[in-house]
Amino acid sequence: MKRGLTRFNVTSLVLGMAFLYLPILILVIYSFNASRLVTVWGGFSTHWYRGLLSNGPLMQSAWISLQLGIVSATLATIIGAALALALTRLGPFRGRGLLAFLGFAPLVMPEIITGLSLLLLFIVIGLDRGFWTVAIAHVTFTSCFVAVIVQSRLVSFDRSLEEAAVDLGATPAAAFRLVTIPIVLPAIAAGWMLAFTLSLDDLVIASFTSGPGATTLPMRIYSQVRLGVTPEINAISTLLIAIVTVTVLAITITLKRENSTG
Amino acid sequence: MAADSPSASHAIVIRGVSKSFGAVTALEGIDLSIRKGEFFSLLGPSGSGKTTLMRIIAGFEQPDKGSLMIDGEEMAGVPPHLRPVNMMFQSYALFPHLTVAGNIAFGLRQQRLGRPAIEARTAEMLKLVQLEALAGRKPHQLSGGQRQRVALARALARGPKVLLLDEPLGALDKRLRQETQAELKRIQLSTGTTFVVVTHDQEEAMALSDRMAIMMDGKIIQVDAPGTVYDRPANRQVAAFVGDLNQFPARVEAGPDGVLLASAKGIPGKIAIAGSAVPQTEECWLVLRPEHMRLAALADGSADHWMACRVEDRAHLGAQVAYRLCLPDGRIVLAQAPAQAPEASQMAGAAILVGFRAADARVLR
Amino acid sequence: MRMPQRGPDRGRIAIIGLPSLWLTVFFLVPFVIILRMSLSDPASAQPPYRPLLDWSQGWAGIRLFIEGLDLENYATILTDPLYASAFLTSVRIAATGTLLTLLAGYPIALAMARASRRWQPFLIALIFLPFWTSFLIRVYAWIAILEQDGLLNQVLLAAGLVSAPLMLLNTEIAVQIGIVYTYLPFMVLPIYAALEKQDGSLVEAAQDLGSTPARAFWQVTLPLSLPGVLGGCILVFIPVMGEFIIPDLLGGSDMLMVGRLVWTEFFSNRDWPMASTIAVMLLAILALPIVIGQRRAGVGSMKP
Repeated sequence: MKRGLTRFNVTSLVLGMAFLYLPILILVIYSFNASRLVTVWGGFSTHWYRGLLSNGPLMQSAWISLQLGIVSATLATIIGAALALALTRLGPFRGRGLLAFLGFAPLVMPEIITGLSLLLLFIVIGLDRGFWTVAIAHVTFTSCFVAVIVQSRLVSFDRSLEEAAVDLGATPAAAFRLVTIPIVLPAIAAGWMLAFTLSLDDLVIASFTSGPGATTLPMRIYSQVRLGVTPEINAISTLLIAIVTVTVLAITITLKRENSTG
Repeated sequence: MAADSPSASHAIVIRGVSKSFGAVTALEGIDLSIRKGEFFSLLGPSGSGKTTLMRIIAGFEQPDKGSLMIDGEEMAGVPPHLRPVNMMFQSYALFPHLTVAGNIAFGLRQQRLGRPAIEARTAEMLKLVQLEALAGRKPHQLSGGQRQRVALARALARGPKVLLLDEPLGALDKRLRQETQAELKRIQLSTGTTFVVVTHDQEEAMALSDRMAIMMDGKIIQVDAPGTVYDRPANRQVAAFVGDLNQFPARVEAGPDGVLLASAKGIPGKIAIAGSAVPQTEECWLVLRPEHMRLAALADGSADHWMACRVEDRAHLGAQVAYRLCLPDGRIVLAQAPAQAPEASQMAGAAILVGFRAADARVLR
Repeated sequence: MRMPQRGPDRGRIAIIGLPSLWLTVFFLVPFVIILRMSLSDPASAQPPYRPLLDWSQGWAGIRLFIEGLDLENYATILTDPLYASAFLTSVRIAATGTLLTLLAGYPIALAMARASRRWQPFLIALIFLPFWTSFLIRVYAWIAILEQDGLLNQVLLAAGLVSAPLMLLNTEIAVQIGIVYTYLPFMVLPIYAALEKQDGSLVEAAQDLGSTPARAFWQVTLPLSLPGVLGGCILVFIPVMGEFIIPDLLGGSDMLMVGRLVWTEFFSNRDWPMASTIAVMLLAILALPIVIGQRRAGVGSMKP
């Protein structure tokens, strides 16, 4: 592509970024609003943040979402990395095409269908709904995202690195441990963080597969949002945005380091 | 080659090796013996099977038929990590997560040598390739030439019986190539390791090798020293691959006193050929190297056969001037003359004579 | 090439087996259950559907079960105007939303591709950062802006552009804003990827051959970026068809899209068979874009 921006290009970028960031910025600003009226500025205050801490149900949901994110991201990383390895490193095997499809379909499946179908499964096999059913549901769709990231790393790295390791006397298993794993590790870490944020974000699938005592943070926020905009929600949203921003920066830096060494 | 016996003097002995990938035949009936301490090149155009042959030696591919012995031991069933050969990859395949020293020590660690032994050997290798100062760098912090030297040191660290080099100079620019050629020769001599280079660059192969094998279409056409391949090529394809060539369709007949006489299209008279393996009945070619062509205004004793021609184009190459000459029948002849020679001043369009000595002409299939 | 042996066979079996087993049990089997549920009838009982498979009766039970399955729900969807209009509304809104996202996204992608190499990773990160932020929160952020006394109306009134506050929230306009806002990155990145790898000298060649810059864009740049446009449209259209949060929070209560219909049938009406049937119909509509999507594997570009 030819470089150099025309005035039209600059305008598109500025307008596009403003469109993307202004609503979030407004939300963050109004979380520090002293007034309970969400659209009238009543002075700066951290009142609503202090209020969050004493909001028992909200804190409990935040704790559940955090645990859920860690558990499901860890499982999803194991399964997703195995899926990526199976599709890129093990050559042809029976059912490879089916596995490739199963690994792709959850990425594009509307959440509402994933949620409904998993709920029906849990009912049919008589599994009581709660923390673990949401965890299973999250692992199922996030592992495919992990696989996409790990797979792109596996595909792009020079196969002769593994051959070089074997040529230098490493057994195939040692070559995998000493060369493949360290090189893919940043992608695996990025995959974990992606799975974590996806789990932290999810409302629809959790709503279907959750049960009593396992109300996640998005479910809690959603039930309050339906009643209207409140400064408390602005405050908790701001905190979530901050967490995600930090995580994304960590992923970006991790992948950047991977690219510069890869 | 059949005279070579798999003896203690050979690093590699290949007998009847064939390999196909699906319907594509990559190698067909390869016989090859490489002597210990030799600098050997596998030279051929891409798709000639040279890379496949090297990967069979390294153990990354299994031959469909035939046998391979390295240092007197049969290699069938021996996995790559147990073979006494190491390879310098075309991409260098340096481990991006390890330092220069870590890369060089990788193979030594696999041998489970003690830490002091590994460190000593790594230091020795760093010295050999003059990279002591960069031991702590990561590969992405190195220049192309430095990476090449790390790859070389890493492959040599384990003291392999045979070092395989896949297009070792391919990724370097022209100036660096010449330095590196000398460097490779120096290291090969000082370590006494057998070097097997795969390349498609005939200049590189000629400059480096003690002997070379010319490969085409999965077969070895000729194995000889570089000078012999250039002067006495096995066929016209080999002759054209290792240098520029003038070719004339010809026929051979028996002359008096056991001399063979060749008659070539466009060349007046019959050319007395010293020796030729080509049967008299067969279609064949008379070939001449550009540097064997003589240019003159009048026919003199410097050549046996002269042809009238017109200068089509000339290019100054420095010490030499290269000519494209056009014969009356439209055939193009390449010729070279020293830049100082009086005939080198011919301009495009000039009429001139081009000639050659019968002793320089070859008849090839 | 493949390594002659990649570790012990047990490792190979585990690496293939783990994801295969997980995705079969938690993705393939649930899908079969949805199919089966869509052929059942609702019942005021626990569980709320019929027929149930009674294993104790042996073959007779299986026969009764199979005879109890029918296509009644599908017939209802095709004939009942409520369902038909929900599907039509969804297709219309998804198609309009995709088109609007394309119109908003293409100029951004073009500007990104023309930016200097040093800036491009930064711009990509900037486009994608909001994608990582909670979907729910991003949709929620628009409520305060679009409300009757929201910020947009305050600005418009203060600027004198309108005399009375506009009704924005709970309209299709709000839904379309929400769609463009949340799905913009999915449109921008594939188009950017297609534009970025275009040879810059192509446009110069077109201009050298007498094209005006505008004609060079229409005749060279745009046609060559069409694969990216198609990829982006698929990535937007598919999830919008099943969208629940945007119409629920920004659309009026009368805006019935398929995703919301599934939710209502399941949670409010407890009609599990009908919810399943709607889900299967939705998938049938999306099958073609999904297959094209997998062919193009445009999802690979969802890397940060």
